[in-house]
Amino acid sequence: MADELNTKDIQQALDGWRDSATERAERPDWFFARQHARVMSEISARRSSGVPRLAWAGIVATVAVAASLMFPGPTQKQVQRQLQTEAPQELQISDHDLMLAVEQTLNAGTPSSLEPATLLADEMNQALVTQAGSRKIKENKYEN
Amino acid sequence: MADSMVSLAAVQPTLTSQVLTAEDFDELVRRNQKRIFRLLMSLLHDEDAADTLTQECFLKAYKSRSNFRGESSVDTWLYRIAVNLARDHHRNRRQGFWKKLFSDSRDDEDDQPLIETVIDHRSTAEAGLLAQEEVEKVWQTVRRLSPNQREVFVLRFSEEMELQEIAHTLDMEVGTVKSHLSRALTAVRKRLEEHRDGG
Repeated sequence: MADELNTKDIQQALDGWRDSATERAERPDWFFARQHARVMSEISARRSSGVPRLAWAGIVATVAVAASLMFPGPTQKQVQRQLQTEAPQELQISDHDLMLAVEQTLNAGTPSSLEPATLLADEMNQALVTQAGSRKIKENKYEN
Repeated sequence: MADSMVSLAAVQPTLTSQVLTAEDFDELVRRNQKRIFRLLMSLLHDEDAADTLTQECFLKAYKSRSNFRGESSVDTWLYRIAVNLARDHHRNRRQGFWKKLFSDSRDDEDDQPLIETVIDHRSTAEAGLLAQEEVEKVWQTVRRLSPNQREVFVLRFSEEMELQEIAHTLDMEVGTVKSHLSRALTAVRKRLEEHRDGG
């Protein structure tokens, strides 16, 4: 019986198998439409996720260039010149201010923050003076 | 294969330009999705997996579109991606099988005789071509082939690809393809003979 299985038989079996394979993979149109939609949706999602990053990078770069053109910073020479002119003035002003501050300090009385202490000290001095005065009177009395 | 060659001829001019746009892919998917799905169904015997991997195949193609230089045909390129995805899927399933085995859980679906799934999906219109049993025996045999033999067999007899194309798709020598095909056919012949002998 096995000898009867010739090439034609094998070919028929394989043809039948191929038809079976095709048939097994047959699906309604909606199945492939859904499959297609899913693939394309995923592809468009990947495309759109890549676009904003590039767009933002472009926007940031453009703004940076525009800002540097609109508000140019001082050149190196300008900075050096500014330093040369400003530095002595700053020293003169500080000396002058220092002199004024010393003078004001010498002329000024008690600082306002220390005024209560000054009053207290004055009262204590007065109290001592009056105490000393009354003691002298008493001594004089006893002596007499 | 004839229909795929027609589709290839229509899409090829835009695809060899190295810059594949989303619009190119819209057409590419539309023209090739049924063939890729059929190939994956034949290799995996699992509709959900075949559907998922068909989508994955086109997404992978989209991601690696810059690598496509038009040296091979679009068919070969897509088939190669699909076969690699099927291999990965088989590998993961094997790992899953051993995990399930050691956790004492049984996967009833895996143990379901192939004959039942074939009968479920098969149209009675095909019954006249060959006895149902013989087609089922071929399916059973294909499922038991080694991965390489199965891939070569499916590409040759389901997708009707030339040996050279198969070699290119599977990155093999033509001689190796012939060897795998010969072994696969021997196994099919043997199984059919056993069936005719009442085995």
